[in-house]
Amino acid sequence: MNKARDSLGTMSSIKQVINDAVEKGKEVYEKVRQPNPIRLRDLIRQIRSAKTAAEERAVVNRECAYIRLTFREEDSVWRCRNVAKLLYIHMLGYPAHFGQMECLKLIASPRFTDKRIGYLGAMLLLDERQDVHLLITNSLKNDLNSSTQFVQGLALCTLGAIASPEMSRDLAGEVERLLKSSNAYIRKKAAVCALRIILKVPELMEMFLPATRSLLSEKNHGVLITGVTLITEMCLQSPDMLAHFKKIVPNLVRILKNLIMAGYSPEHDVQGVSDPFLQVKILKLLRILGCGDSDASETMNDILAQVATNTESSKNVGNAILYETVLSIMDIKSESGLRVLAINILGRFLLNADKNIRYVALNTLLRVVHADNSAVQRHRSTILECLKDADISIRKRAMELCFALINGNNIRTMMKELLTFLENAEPEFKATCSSKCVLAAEKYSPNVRWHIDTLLKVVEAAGNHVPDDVVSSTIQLISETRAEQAYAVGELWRHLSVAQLEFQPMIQVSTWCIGEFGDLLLNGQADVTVEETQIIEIYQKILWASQCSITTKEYALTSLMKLSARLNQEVGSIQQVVSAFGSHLNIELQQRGIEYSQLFTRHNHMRGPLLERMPPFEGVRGNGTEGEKGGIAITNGLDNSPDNQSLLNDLSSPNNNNNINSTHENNESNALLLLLGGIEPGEGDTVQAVTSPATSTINATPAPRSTVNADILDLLGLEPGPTAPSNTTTSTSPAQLSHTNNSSSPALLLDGLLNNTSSTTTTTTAGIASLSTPTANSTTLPTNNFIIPQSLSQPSVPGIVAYDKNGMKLDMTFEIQDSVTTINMLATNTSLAQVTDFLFQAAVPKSLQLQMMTPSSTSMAPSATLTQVIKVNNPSKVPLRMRMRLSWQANGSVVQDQGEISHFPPALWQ
Amino acid sequence: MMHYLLISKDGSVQFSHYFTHSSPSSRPTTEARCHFLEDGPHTLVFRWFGPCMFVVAADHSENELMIYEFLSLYVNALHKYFGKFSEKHILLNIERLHMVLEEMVVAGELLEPSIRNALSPIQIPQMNLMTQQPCLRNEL
Repeated sequence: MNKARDSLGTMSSIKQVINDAVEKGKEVYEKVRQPNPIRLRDLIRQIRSAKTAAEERAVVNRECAYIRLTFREEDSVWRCRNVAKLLYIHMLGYPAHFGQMECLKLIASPRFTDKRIGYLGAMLLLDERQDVHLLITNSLKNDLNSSTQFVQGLALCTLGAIASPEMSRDLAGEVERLLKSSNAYIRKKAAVCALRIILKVPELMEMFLPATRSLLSEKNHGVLITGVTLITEMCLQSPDMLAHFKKIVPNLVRILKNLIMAGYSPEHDVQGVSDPFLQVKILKLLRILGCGDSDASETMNDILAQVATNTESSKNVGNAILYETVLSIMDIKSESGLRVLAINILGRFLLNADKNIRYVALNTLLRVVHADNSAVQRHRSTILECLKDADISIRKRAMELCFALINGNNIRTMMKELLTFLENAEPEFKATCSSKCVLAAEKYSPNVRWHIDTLLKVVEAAGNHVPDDVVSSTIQLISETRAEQAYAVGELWRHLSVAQLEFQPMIQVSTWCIGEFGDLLLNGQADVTVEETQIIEIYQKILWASQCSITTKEYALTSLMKLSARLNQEVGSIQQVVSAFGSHLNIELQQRGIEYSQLFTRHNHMRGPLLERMPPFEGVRGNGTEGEKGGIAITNGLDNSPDNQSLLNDLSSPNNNNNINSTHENNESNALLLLLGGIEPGEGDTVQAVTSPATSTINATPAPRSTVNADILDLLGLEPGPTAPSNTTTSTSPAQLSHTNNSSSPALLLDGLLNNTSSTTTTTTAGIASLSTPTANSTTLPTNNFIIPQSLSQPSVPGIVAYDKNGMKLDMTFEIQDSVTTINMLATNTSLAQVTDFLFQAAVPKSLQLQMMTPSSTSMAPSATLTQVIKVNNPSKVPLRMRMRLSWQANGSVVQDQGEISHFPPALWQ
Repeated sequence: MMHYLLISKDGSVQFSHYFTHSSPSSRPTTEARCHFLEDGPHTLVFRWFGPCMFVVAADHSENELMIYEFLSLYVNALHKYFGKFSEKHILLNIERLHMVLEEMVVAGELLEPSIRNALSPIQIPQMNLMTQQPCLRNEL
């Protein structure tokens, strides 16, 4: 045996001498032919010494060009060095994917150094292109069967990093064989490979089961730790495995006990603790095995108590183990004494000077708060202290925990602290925090007055970072509580009269309420004395202030119009202000200005009834808070796009917001019904509504979808009034609804309509046809004349069906603006199953830029729809192609598909 | 599971190693501000060693304190491997950093908690058998 090895050794060293000689010869030849490529470390020095980004780019580009050249020349001597340099360049963020094939060539080389770099490159550079994967699968297979453990180790390492489902299936057999190898070095690497494989292809789990069991009887900690990790993953993936592995609990307990009891072993000691890494892995597995199982929990109670009491807590390692132990104690069915011990450990953690420890304490409390609220309540004051911590991560966790701790008893004190927090919080916290405050206040508020006060404080404290749903919730609350309206409007007036005008949400709430309930302000019910002239003054300030957003001005203008029916002396000056907007640069405001001035002149008799107070919005709240989940962008008209909510029902803006949110909710037809009928028909004013175009139209049509069009025809036929078109189109055209959540500028409204007329034959066409009949066109209203030519000037592009398979249909409609094509994608679930986790990914050729907006939802009930907006910038006007990948879950399984969309209408780029 | 490890100095990336595949666009380029930080689907754990910041992105379910400890395990391993590890090594021996890391973490899972065991396969000095020589020769 020994002899054989010796002779093998001699043989190989001879071989090496020969190889070296050959290489030397080659090197000499290379030197003659061309200068050697610079070494990796020299390149690093060059790049590091570059003083500017441009200089660095120049160095990188020069080197990349050189590397490409050598690749083209099939230079195999320096390939390894060049790929290594390329990997460095790739790390800096430069494109390096032209090196993929070179990596494969290196892997196939017999030299170890080549293989090393080749595999490293494969791990870093390879994408999921199938041809490359196929090639590398073969190389991996060869190397997994190599006689050298280091080559096998390299291949396992790479497989663990990049295995795809196909690769997993192809190589599972090899990995299973290596898992039984007698070499610990190979076995531990095979174990993590097996883990990666079952993550990719869970069906292969059975195959590894026999080999896994023996991993636990191992002395080598590397094998033990990977074995425990593998079993953990198996238990997480399959209930059968979980049941199967229940019987290893005593083994795990024994291993853990040995670790704690064992004396000092230099090999695994970390700051006086024996292999904390293994301890933590075992504790985690125990947690999974003991969850909901009293027998298993019983078996591990003692050891958990032992770990919890004996672990030294002065060092980070000790705390890491304690942290894991606490999680396990809280998750399994442990004895009550043990749970008290765990909570006390967390209490100690919360007071620890080390921020990391405080962070994990908050994290853990957040996880156990639902199971054991009263135990966590005991630490409330400490948690509130953490709201003031300097560290952002700790503050974030503390905030989440605070909201979990709020109940009817402590809402007043908690809200007080949270409002202070909200006031000083970073912008990224303000949106979530204010939404959650609104939710909490709604759930636990002791009385309405307090509720209103709190919402107003939230809107004020969050400044411009208030999500739309908070604005609408506030308005809604005031609208539905008649008794407090006078109080609220008084408070709001106080705010408005000293407002700094830079915080839009507060102004929006104020103007809405003052518009509706301005009379209460004037007749002394509101506990403030206000002159009519003061009101007009403030409104003029808002309307002409440059720091107010268009949306705010829309609120203000409509509110002012409403006030014209509430004030007595100042109606004349209101008319003056309103008619001045007839020439405003913003089209929406201009339209309102013109429309409203008509109400002073031609239709003056209708002004009073039209501007009646809105009926209270009952029963739709809650919807408004959905935004928090969907993560709706904060608009408030602050971004400079003209995406103001131009719908006339800005008057009833809470509804508007709610409806947008419900389209997010995924069911458009529901949204439509809600939009039209969701509000109970109002009391007296609905009769006029048919003839009057303003907000009450919504109330007037509580009809189901089928009759809606008829109503609209009626509306249009009766009186093609100034506001009817935009209002009704929004509510009826399904294509339009897809716009609502991102942009619904007036031009788009009609654009959507025109697209419809030309391409589809939905039920709405009837309504649209009537719009383009002479009746509509002959109206002399300047608004129509203004809008229609603009939208006609945009080319109308027919929509396409991008995908229609597996119970999923994707329709795309297009809008073009200069070089940017906006694709409105409407996904329809045509199957009978609930679809969740819907994900649409797209890629376009390099010369194009792609921007994907968040989809309106990720789940769809059967036959429901969702929308997603995709923007493609095509400056060079090349034909548009798109690769897409789709995935979603239906019936508990994942559906994936990919494909190319190449039938985009050529009008998009011509 | 850990997803990647990177070393940063003065806000620029000096070394990065990806345990699992991630698209280039989703790879981070900037440094963070404190020890644990939530970053979308990952928790970022970072630790300063001298002027260099080491960052690991891990699943939320991972024990952050243990990852924090792992970073010091890695740095200790590098100390032992290089004799005395300094930022100069990051600059000039980048491939060796990968090599040491591959012996300690594969597929984002800790492979070997013992530094000695982790280093033994890559420390055999200048073995004779050419194909078994795991060290990179000075040809990069």
